[in-house]
Amino acid sequence: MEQAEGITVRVGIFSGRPNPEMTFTDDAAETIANLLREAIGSNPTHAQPRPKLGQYHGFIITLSPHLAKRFGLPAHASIYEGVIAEPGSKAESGWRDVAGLERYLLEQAVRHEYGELLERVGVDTSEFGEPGSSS
Amino acid sequence: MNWLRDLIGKIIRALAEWVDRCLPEYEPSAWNDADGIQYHNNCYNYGCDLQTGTYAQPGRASGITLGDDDMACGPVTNGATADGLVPVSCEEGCGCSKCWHQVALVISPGWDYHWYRKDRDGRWSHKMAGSAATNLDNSGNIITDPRTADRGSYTVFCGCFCVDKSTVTIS
Repeated sequence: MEQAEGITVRVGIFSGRPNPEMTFTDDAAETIANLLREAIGSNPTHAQPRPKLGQYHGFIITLSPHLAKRFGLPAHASIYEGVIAEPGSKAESGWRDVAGLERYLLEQAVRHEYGELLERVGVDTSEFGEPGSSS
Repeated sequence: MNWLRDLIGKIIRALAEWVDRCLPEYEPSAWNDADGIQYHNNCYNYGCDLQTGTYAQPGRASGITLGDDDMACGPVTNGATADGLVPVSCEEGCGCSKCWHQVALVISPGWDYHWYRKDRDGRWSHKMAGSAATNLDNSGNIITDPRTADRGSYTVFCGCFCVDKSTVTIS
């Protein structure tokens, strides 16, 4: 992967163990960066809801420095229940996911065969295809 | 004799403060930055009160790798003790022979592990993966005892441990 243009997305399933990761490059990375840029700063809202132990707890997005700079985005972002946390906000404020980023990432997670894991932590993935499906 | 009572009071307060210095404060803002600290430190980091930024795993610093089949009390305990955590009775606590604080290990069988820590206020707090640290359980109640807290699917309570953050090694 060309680290300079990549995005890593961590799927929030486990608490202690390392969570599954998806890497995106090229057009896929730009799609995520565009969705993130569309949402950040457009519609301020409250903090992310508090996730429950043993349940899905969103996505953590890490952008390569080059991509972050090119899109004017923070190096890290998290999204959960339709709220993108504002970096440096002490997790007390965020922006609404007006661009549909979380839905896009859930769809990508199912395509990466994490559907079964997501089902186990309470996510209904049926609208994104069969759990575990690679299509 | 008032001077003696005052002196004894001062000694007791000083002793309590000396013991308390080892207990972590519940200070979520030190962890919840919605950025690198929060996202790269998990429940094990939080329990040990050590921000390594490595998403620490029990035993990894000692060459132990926990796999899919290791999500049970035994293997995770082995990893933690290799890192320097010391099993202890939850009732007895850690005392003050070292600069200890207390943590507790729970398991979602075959799935994952999770840690709680006892803070200076006598309550317990935790941090789920890259999410924000909190002192609330799944039902929204302040955690006074992790054994009775609402822990969702983390149904197995493995036990309590003592942590001296100046001597444990986690990565």
